[in-house]
Amino acid sequence: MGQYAIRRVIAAAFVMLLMSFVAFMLINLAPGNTLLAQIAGSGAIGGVLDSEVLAEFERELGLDKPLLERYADWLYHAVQGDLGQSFVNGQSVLDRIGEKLPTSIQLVIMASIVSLVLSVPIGVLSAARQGGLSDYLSRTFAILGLAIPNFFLAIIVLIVFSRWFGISLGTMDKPDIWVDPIANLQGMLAPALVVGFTLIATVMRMSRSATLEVLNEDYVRTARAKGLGERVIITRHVVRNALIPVITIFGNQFAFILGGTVIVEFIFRTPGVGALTLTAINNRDYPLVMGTTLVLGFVVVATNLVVDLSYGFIDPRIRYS
Amino acid sequence: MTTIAAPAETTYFQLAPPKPWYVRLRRVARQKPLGTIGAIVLFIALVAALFGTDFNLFGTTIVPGFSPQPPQQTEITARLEGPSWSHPFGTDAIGRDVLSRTIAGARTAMIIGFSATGLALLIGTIIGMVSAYAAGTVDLLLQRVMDAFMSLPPLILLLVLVTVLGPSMMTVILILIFFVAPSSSRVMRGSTLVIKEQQYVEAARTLGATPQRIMFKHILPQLVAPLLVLASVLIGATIVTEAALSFLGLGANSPENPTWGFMLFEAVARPPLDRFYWMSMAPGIAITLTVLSFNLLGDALRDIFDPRLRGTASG
Repeated sequence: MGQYAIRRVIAAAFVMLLMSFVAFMLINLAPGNTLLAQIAGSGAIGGVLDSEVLAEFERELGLDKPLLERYADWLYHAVQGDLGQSFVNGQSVLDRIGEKLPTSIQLVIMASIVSLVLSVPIGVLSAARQGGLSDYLSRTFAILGLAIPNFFLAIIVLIVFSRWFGISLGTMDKPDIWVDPIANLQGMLAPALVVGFTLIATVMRMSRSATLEVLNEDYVRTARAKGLGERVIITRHVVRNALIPVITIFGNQFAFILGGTVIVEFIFRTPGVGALTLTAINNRDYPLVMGTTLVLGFVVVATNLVVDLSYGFIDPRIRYS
Repeated sequence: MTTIAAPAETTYFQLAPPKPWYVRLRRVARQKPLGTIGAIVLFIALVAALFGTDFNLFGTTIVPGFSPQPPQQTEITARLEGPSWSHPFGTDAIGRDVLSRTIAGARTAMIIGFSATGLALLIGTIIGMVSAYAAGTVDLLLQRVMDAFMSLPPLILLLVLVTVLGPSMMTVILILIFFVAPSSSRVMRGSTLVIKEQQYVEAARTLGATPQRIMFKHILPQLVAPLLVLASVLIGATIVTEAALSFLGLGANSPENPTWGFMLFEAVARPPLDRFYWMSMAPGIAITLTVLSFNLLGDALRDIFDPRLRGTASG
């Protein structure tokens, strides 16, 4: 276990490194963009671009150095927690992300809770009553849920709420949770539901099929043979064993949840990292884009690591090799 | 050397002649109603993609399209009109016919879905097959690289890539390939691992067949079934991803080739959303139906090609 954990941590660090390298190279290989964007962002020059002025800007930003050296430089600072300054207002990238990250994390946590609470019981029930009406309904729901893209779902939710309930979810206030928890939760619930919706469908399908598989196991037959009630069999024997693949799926979906937050934050005007990334991309604020990519990537890699390592706790039969 | 006498021409039983293709198709359709619905919807979408808008080659229209208007035609007097007989799905903020634009969007979606998935599967299959067949260090290295790609958060990196490369249909297709190929290589690797242990592969190896010959003549044909299933799911997935990029203004949209995702963005950009609901409904439903149909078809194909998997993940 210990050895396996160490190996996985090293692999995760390698993935992070590779990701930062890929992102850095892509952003910086774009011809001239970084510099021109910087100049446009600073608003220093109105019209003609003098080659001398350009050269000076390049020196100032260290852009005249070779690419690899710049990457090493950036990495050296990044490891120490310094992701550079935003082009647009010179604010520290890490500070800006730090401001927005709690909202995104809250969104993802709310989405996960909502989807797990809804999907696992429905999936298990659907399997336990295989072929019944509830099974049929939940499967139809899952097939539809997987097909609706979250941005269209968000639009439908906005239209429905504003047309029939007179609530404008898009412009709803999302104050800080520590300042006004009730208003915050009200504002965040709809985005969280939309983010969680696709997840509900995926996890439900998974827990249904996992439950079906476990129901065929010998020990379930044994439990039935010794006269246990169906309810006890499901809750004590089946669910526990069916949860393992569900957790895997859940971990694998994490990257997609985070990706989903970008769009949903945009539609619902939720001030999170996703919305920040979009703003940064529109402003060509490359240090900020680099920073958000890295931070979001870090969250994904860390989650995958935790999921991998958690198998052992959930199912002691799993031995790491 | 003695020759083995051919068996006498006594027939012990008579095989029924194979049923004509339409009878077999009808039987499959009856067994898989959902998959059939998916296939029909996709057929309609494909017809819309092929014949909906004018088919131009070198600036001349070869096949005129059946959609009521060209997608870029504006009508200033009829802006933001609700559904009517002349504009069944209404008009958008600059007076373009939403129905015509939705039909034109099918072409963009299909071009991107099919080309990106096709190329990604080609690359993924080669990598997966070689990785599984070569085994050992090659396998380990290739799979770790694929791991690294797969653990990157997709949409965020897509956004960065499109920003850097500039949004165009070519960029979007290239980037999608970059993201779909690793996961498809994983699936193909898994299938190859099973196939390469089969006896007939061993027999081919004993006869001295080269690895290339074994891979392309003996293993590849066995991969066709999983490839078809994978393709049907992946095309849907790439269409959604492209729509998401377009929705954020970073997709393959252009006036002549509108994308469904960008149409949704235009609807959001023209509030109030609930008053001009028709602008978002047609493209949104088009995306949903297309993806749904690809998923249903994929489920049906998997059941037909690989009965062992029946009912496991099909929901």
